[in-house]
Amino acid sequence: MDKRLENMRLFFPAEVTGAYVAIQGLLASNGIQKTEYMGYMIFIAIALAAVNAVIYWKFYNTVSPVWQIVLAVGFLIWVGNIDMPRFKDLWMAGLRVELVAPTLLIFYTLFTSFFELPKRIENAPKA
Amino acid sequence: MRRKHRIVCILFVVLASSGGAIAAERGDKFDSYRDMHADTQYGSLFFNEGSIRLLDSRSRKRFVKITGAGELSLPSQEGYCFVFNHYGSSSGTGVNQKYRLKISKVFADGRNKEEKLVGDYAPTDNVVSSRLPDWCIAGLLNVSKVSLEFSSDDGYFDRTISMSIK
Repeated sequence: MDKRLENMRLFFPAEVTGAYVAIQGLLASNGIQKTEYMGYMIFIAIALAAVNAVIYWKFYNTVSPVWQIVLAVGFLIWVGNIDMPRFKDLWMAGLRVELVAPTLLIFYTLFTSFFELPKRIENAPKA
Repeated sequence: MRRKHRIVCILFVVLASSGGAIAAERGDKFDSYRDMHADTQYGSLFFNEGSIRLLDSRSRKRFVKITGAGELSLPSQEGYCFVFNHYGSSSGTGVNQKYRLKISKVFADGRNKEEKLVGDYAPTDNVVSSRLPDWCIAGLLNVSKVSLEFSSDDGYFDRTISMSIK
């Protein structure tokens, strides 16, 4: 499962995944536990999903709305898996987050294995 | 002489066991509303560790179950916050109930002060509900002992605990 998660992280620009992990670390260093500040981290995840879309559009030439949705959903699944305890209190999904999040990860990696992911434009700035 | 010893021993055992029965204790810890609600009974009382006011208490999930009633030992803090499990009432959900708390403080100089708090809550069937019946106790400067008398309309919250303030 860890390998799947690591493979999935590589779907997304390092700027975005790095930002989420950095904010996670910021909360921890301020004495906030792994299950607290759920609403705040949902807001951060949605904001980063939007940044992700812009990066894909600008640096990967991904303009297809379908691809953008697939990538945004994938990013949220990645967040759900790396920050699982935080979402225990999420309405509906939280009840079985330990099952739901890895299941979504498995199906997402299976689904995306049929497609070639967009490639970064050669001259695009890197993180 | 031997009989006297036996009586003293029995008396000691009886006193020790009765002392244990009237003490409240800290039990399991929970870090989410989901686990706290799902793994304990409706009406269970929790101390929200580290929280000293309601704003803190509503953003922290450091619930320590309090079992029993009577004298309770808690870590030294500026204030104390408590919550109740309001999930899974056997008498149904959706009907608002009242909860009450009588706080009796004994000051170091011997003065006594009583405060009464009343609030509304609704028993819920949402296991991740964050709208817990909660209270915080502040103003503990020069207080040596606090007694808390909890009660609710349905009787599930009824209990009394006391704490010595260090």
